[in-house]
Amino acid sequence: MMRNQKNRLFPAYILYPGIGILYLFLLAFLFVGIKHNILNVPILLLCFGTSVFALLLFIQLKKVQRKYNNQQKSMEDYIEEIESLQKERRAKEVIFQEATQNLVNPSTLKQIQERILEDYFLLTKLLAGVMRDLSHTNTITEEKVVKIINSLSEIRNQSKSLLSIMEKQEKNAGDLAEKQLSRLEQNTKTLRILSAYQEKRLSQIEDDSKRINEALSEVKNLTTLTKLIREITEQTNLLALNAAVVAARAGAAGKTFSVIAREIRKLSQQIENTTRKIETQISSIVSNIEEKLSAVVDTSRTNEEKHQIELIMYTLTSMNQAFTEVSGYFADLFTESHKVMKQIHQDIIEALGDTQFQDVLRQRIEHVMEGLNLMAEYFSDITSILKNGKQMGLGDHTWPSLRELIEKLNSNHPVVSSTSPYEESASQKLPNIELF
Amino acid sequence: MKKILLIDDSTVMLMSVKEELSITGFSVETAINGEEALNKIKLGLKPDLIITDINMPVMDGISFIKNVRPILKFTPILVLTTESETMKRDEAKKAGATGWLVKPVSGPDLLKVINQVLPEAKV
Repeated sequence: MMRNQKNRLFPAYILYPGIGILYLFLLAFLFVGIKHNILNVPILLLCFGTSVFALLLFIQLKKVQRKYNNQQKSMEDYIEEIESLQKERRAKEVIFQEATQNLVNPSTLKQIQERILEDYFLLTKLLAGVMRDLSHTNTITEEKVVKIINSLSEIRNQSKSLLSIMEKQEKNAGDLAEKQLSRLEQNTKTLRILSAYQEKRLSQIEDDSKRINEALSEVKNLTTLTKLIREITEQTNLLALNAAVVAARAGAAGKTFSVIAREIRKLSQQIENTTRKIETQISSIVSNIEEKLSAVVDTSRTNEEKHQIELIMYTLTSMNQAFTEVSGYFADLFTESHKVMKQIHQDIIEALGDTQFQDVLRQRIEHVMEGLNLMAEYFSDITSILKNGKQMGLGDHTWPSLRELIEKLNSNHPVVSSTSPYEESASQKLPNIELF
Repeated sequence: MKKILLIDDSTVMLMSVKEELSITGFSVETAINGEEALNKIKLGLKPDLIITDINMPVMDGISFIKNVRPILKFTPILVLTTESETMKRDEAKKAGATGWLVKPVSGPDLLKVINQVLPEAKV
């Protein structure tokens, strides 16, 4: 309250008497003016204006006074608050000092300091080890993922190569099938012609056989004729013999007749010989024709041939069907293989997409390493404070701010800068894929 | 065959994305940072599409986009990164990026986006 009185802009003992004197002086002036009758309009107006001015000045001064007083009050409040806090801090310091003095003696503090420094040394070693491990993890995962990608690439190349071979083989098979079908059709056609010919030939053989048998029969009939000739010849020979006997009896008259009879007997002898030869030749021809004909007209053999042709035709048709079937299987196989290859390629693409985890992981690990580095720096600063002793403490600016370090680390976070894993964030999650 | 320029400092990313795109029939050119990519473009490389990372040494993705836009005015540029921060997205958009993809992106998703920005590719 004392300070309040002292620090007022216009103290009451100046302000109020000042205003009072001013009004008294005005009243005195009016009184004198009325008494001596020297008042006129300008003087009255001057008086009135002066009094109004004085009143306004008073009001204004009061306002300024009030404002000043308010500010003064606020400052006083602040000062009081600071004083209170200082008091509180001093009290706490006293309590802390008392507690330190009571509980921990300087030698113990020294021991604690030494222990912290020793632990810091171990901590730096530990952090270095962890950093090495993390770095090694990054290297290993990268190596392995590169190996996986190379393997996937190799699989892709192999499957592509296999598909290319299959495409080539399918084309070859197609060409071959076309050729084979053409050949099979040609063979079937030939066999049909052969079969028709065989049928025709069988029919012809039967006709020929009939005709030959008829001719043979006629040839056989010739033997009857030769027999007749032989009988006639025998009769002639006998007649000639009788004529010779008669001619001999007739003597000279029968001499000429005897010559004729002899000639007739000679002639009949020759006819008989010739007839025998004809018979032998007929017999030979007949047996020869019969032998050959039996071979030619052997229908069972012809039927066997026909059967064989039919069998070949059936086999060729079956082959044709089988070949068409195999071609179909091959085409199906190719189509299926193509589908599978396509699926393999899709799977490879999926797997390749999944390998991107390594890049995300690497950046996260690098961020963890950065965090560990900052932590090491933080503890280094703390240990240097501990080494330097009393002149540095909690109240000094040299004490590192862990909050600032965390903020620095958060601002560099590679994956989720807006939603740091160290602090909760209310920000809305952005889409992973966005086209502008 | 459409040509894609892929920029990333990660060997794994370069290899995996290049393989994915090669399987689907793209010709892929790679660069390990923005500067290398920019030099290739200055030497005459004309990609149909550019896919770039953001955090790279020497020249980052945003600087690359700013530098390449005056040369390739209409080429679509996709950003493929681990970053998902709004500020970075806005910066890339302002620099001239066409789209933003956060790693890891699956093969089919990547191809879907490529189809959208490069409809004539039809993959």
